[in-house]
Amino acid sequence: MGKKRKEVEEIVIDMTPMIDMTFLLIIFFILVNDMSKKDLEELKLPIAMEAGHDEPPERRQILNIRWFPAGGVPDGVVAQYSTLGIGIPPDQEWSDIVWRGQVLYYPNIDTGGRTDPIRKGRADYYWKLAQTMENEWVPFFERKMDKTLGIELPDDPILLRADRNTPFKYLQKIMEVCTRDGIQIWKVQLAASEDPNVVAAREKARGNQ
Amino acid sequence: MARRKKKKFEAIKTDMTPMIDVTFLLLIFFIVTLKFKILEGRLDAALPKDRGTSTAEAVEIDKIDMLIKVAEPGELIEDADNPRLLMYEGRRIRVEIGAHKYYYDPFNIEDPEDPLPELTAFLKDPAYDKEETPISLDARKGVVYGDIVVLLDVVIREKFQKVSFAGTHEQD
Repeated sequence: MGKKRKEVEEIVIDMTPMIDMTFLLIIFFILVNDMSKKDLEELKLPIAMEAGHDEPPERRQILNIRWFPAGGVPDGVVAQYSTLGIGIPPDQEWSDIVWRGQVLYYPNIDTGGRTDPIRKGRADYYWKLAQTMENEWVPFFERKMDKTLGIELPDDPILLRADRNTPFKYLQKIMEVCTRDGIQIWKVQLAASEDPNVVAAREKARGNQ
Repeated sequence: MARRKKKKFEAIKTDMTPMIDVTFLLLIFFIVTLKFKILEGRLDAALPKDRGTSTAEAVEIDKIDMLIKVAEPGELIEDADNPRLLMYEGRRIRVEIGAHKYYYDPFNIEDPEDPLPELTAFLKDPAYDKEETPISLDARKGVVYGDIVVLLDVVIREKFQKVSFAGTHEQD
């Protein structure tokens, strides 16, 4: 009888294994969580077969180009711009360039009277991008001597990411900015997805060998 | 007095509840912020190194100029697989190399391993030194990123080393 009473008193759950498990799970998720994805906006990349698997070089910079058709700008983007005090006209297509979550170009950007150094006489809507490249990228890029030109050029690449529907002129504009004096970045990579069917087929073929 | 003291010794137990709470919050945070690795690749290209700075005369070399134009723009529709995404239907792009013309629909490619068989055959011409022949992609009005990537894919598959892009002809 005395024994039974003791059992009722000491119902204590041992928490130790549960806490161990939870810590293990936390460690797992910390390790799996890839923080390098923070530079990547969510985009639908076009598919390419030869897209070499991307191992990011150390000093590479990533530019995300977003584009939305007229009337198709998502609410989240409209809200993002309204916090900056910019209204997106509903009947106009919209595009911007994002670097590390920072907008470096959008269609109505104030030029502050700057003109395009390559296309003389035109307003320079890409001054912010050019400034970022010149002050924050190029000084940290490795430089190599180019034998035919006899000058040192930045030897690190930039990666351009865009939706498959994005008009190519926006990428061409960025490339133009890259060739400006004081920047002269010449290595450009275009992001593309690998076709999941092809990847699967290749792995299958490798398995059969 | 004696009874109270004895009870105190018996009941030294840390309260685990706050720790477990915090641990679960951390766990939930990491689960929510988890992004799985995306299959993402890249295509390499180069820009002209000397534009806008050099006054040296261009050396006449054998090169391939691809002029990319929109033959039929097609219609921007929602993707059947994912309504949040957009794609073009009935699009036709024309690639001009000198007098040669090639057509393709970048959003409806039959054989992804060989999207442009005629262009591939043209590029296989042994007259071109693949390491030295520069290819320039000149995209004109209305061309989108997806159109270019298909073409760049073909060029890179044929192992051309010097691929570059022309500037835009459009206003901002």
